[in-house]
Amino acid sequence: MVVALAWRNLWRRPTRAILSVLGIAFTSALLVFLISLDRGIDLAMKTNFLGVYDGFAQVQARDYAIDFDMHKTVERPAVLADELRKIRGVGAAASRVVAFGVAATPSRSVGATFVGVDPRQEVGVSRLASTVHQGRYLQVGDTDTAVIGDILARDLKVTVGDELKLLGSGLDGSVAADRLHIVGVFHSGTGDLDRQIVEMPLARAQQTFAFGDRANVIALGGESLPALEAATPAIASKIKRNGAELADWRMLEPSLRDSIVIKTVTSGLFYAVLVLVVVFIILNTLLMSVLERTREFGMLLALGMRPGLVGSTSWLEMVFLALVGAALGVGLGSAFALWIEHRGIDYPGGGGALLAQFGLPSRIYASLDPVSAFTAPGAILLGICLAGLIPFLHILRLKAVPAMRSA
Amino acid sequence: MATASLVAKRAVAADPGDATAILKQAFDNYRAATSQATMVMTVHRPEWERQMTVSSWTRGGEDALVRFVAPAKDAGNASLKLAQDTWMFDPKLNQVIKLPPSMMAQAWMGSDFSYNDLAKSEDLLNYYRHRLLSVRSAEGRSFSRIEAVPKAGAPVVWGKVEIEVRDDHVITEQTFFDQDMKPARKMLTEKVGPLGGRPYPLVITLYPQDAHGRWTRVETTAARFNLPIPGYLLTLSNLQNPRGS
Amino acid sequence: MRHIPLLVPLAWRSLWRNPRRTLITLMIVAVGMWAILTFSALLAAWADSTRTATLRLLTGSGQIHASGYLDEPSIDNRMSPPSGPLLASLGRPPITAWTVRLRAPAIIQSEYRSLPVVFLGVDPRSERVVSDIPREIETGRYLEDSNDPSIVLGRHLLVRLKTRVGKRVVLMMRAADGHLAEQSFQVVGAFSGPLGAQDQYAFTGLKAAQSFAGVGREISEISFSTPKDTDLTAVIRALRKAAPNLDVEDWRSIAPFAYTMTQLAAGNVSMIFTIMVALIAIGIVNAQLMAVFERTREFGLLQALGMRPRLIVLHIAMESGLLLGMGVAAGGVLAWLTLLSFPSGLDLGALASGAERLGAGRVLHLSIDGRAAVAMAGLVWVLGMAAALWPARRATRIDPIKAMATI
Repeated sequence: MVVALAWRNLWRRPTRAILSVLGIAFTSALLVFLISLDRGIDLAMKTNFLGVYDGFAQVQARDYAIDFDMHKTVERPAVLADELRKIRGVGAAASRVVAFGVAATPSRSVGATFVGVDPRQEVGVSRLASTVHQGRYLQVGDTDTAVIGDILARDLKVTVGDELKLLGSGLDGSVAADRLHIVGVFHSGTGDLDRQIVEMPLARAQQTFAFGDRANVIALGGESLPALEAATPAIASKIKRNGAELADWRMLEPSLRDSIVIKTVTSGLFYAVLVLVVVFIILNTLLMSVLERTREFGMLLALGMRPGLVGSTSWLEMVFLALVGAALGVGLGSAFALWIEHRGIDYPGGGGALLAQFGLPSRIYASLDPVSAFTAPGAILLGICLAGLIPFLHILRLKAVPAMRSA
Repeated sequence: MATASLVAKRAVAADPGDATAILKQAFDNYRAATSQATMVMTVHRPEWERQMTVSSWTRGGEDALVRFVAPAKDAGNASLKLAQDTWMFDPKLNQVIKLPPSMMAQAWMGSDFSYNDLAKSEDLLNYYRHRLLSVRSAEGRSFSRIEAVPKAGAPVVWGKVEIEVRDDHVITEQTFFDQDMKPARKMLTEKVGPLGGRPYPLVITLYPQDAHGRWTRVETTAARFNLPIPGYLLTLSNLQNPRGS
Repeated sequence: MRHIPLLVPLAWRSLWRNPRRTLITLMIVAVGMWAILTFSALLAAWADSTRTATLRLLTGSGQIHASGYLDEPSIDNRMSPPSGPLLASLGRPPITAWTVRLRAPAIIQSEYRSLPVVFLGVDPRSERVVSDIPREIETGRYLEDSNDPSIVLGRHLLVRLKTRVGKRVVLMMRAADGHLAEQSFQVVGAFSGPLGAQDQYAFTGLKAAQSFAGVGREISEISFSTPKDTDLTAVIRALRKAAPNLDVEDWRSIAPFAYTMTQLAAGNVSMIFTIMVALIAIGIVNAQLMAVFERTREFGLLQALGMRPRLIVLHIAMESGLLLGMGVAAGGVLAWLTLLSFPSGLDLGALASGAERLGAGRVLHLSIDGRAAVAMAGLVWVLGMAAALWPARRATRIDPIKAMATI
């Protein structure tokens, strides 16, 4: 009954109720949009950094990441990769051999990192293939081809079509020696990659470095990072039987995780302030409507209605307002966020062009998910419910007669 | 045969001349002015063990040519060291490759020796001050323990090296200490016998002190010392196209 | 205007007739103003930190190299120390300081490990002015002069090498004549700072480095500093004219990622300002609308008594003005107190590596230019007043007769 009463009371002053609802709805929607935008930026940052080369996650031998010792291998990676690809969320599972050695031409020799890759899977994990600006990337069916970073190419004074010699140590200690034909040169924008990496066919690397059918890592990619993260438990249980570990993106790029935390904390602080200010604004209105109705409350008290009941009715009115406003805000905000998710928005200050230089998207795309949709409206709702206790307490202190006498 | 467990140690007054002379003789015994040898190297790890056979020529302490004979997979590979520089040759590549600094720190053929270790084998004589620590008797022979401390400014990382030399000039032990004077690696002579007309440490094993179950053993099966080595032998062209044997 | 002395105390008293609403509105304005100032300071500190961290590491405001060096940063691409027109240009404002370095890749060895480093020969005296690293010595000391043959390494590098200050390391590099040079160096100091710098850089005296590398008096790079808001384009142009055969670049080309981050931070400040001002405006309009509505009878009476509409507007405007003024001032004081509570800056602590990933330093020095703060406060006040004019004008549209009849 209280509920019904509260609802009816709300609409006695439609203008004010509507204005309040709109106010709550607007701010909620704004926050839903801003938070979605923020999460979109975070997702873009992660996807872009990880997508250059690392992959969204990697299956590695235990303790491989400590010293990247070539001898720490994953057994039967081909079978494992096949099984992992069946898991929903895993779009690509690319096995890699990673070995250090000398890259040599008749006139120069420099240290380099040779990575044996499976091109078909690799393109689903790493963007490197799309940064090849001379020649082509590796293809299925290649035997002795190689793509190298442009700084390495300059160092060795080689280009597409030249021969590259490889000298290193095999897994069993034997000499690893090979001749490769450069078919492509890439420019990733990351110095470490452009200066060090030589990618070659996986089978050839396994043969040259005496790996048998082993690999050092299986890099995982997928349609989106959240999708892959959702698949983490399934992946982890599958690889446990191999004695391997899953290195998630936080382990692959720990400083990226930290920078996202910084961003999130700073933005979160700002949004909290926004919520606070909005709750204050609404509180003003609610307080006034309570004060206005002092005489009415006095009458109800005189008629025998308990102060607690009067107060809760009033409180419920505020809650309804907030609920309707918040729900509206979620709807509006989500709709807008979805639109921007699709369309994208330009960076303020023209930063987009600069980012394009790094192969990063030049527009920001929002990312709508339960967190971005419900956090802010929920916080506003909670804030109003709490703030609404102030008028509630005020009502509790009313005395019937003085209240009826107020003008 | 086996003597009593008591070994008599006799402290000797520090006489650098003594110690350096002993070391010089030991090195002379080990590689002479020139040498040609055949060695079998065994690399042992907890999960696997591998054996390789090499043929080597050395001239003085600075120049050396090492060629792989077995297993077949590695046969024909060779490395040449002239003074400070090291080159590798691989028959499959048919090219001589100069080792960049980053490779020098890498393990040689997967062993516990780095390319740098092989390049620096003369360091003990050139870059250290020597001191005779003690002399002990065992099995009817006397063993001199020499302490080698790096000279000021010497390009060596060790805190000190202790070498034990037998009275017939055979090096029986080398212990490398880090700069905190903790042993970092030990080279033990496990078998001595006549070779090329001299008593020789036939089997030497290197034990890194910070890892278990890993060692590298070098067994010298044949050697000739102070033979004339033709000028063309220790050159880059010979590295690529071997003429002598 | 002669009515002002009368209206001010009237306005003041009117405000406090409804203390709760006035206080809540005050809080809205104050919190909004605090947020604008504090977040501006935060973002400005962030942008500044990014710029400074990049510039004060090694980059300087700009660098000069032999042509070809940036593509292949080895010992082969050297130049003579500056002389003639270049030397003169470097000595002219706005350049405040410059230093020379020898720079080449090398391998550093301890008893236990060998790692690649960037070997730098520097002149400690001028290096101190251009770079922050000499000031970040954690253990031991920095280099004394160009002849100092000791070496200073990053703390993290020492950990990875399993060595310490006071011990000896051996450096190996390809000398100018191509042979492999090796030399031992005594570690005299360990520096902290960005992890990347700690892992990469090894410093020794310039002359000691030159004799090690066998380059005589030649150098690899010149790094120069200019004051913060200098027009670098003009400086670069002048330097290029003075040294047409050399490669002159400013920090924006050498560290484009850091530059982008700086630009992005600036864009966010306008967004925060806009949102907060909008909320402040809504808050004050909301409060004043309620006030006007409440006092309908009073305004009706005043009008009937002959008070001209203009004065009523002025009266309400004054209330708004006082309210905004107090709120803005309170917000300013709060912001100042907030900044005061971080006297030595906001240390990002554990999140430092994330800050470095975004290019910033680990400590954010929060400060606000007094004049800028006052200007922002003034702007907020003016905009708030503009919005508050609407409820003020509404007050004049009240029909006196109908108004007085309201209960």
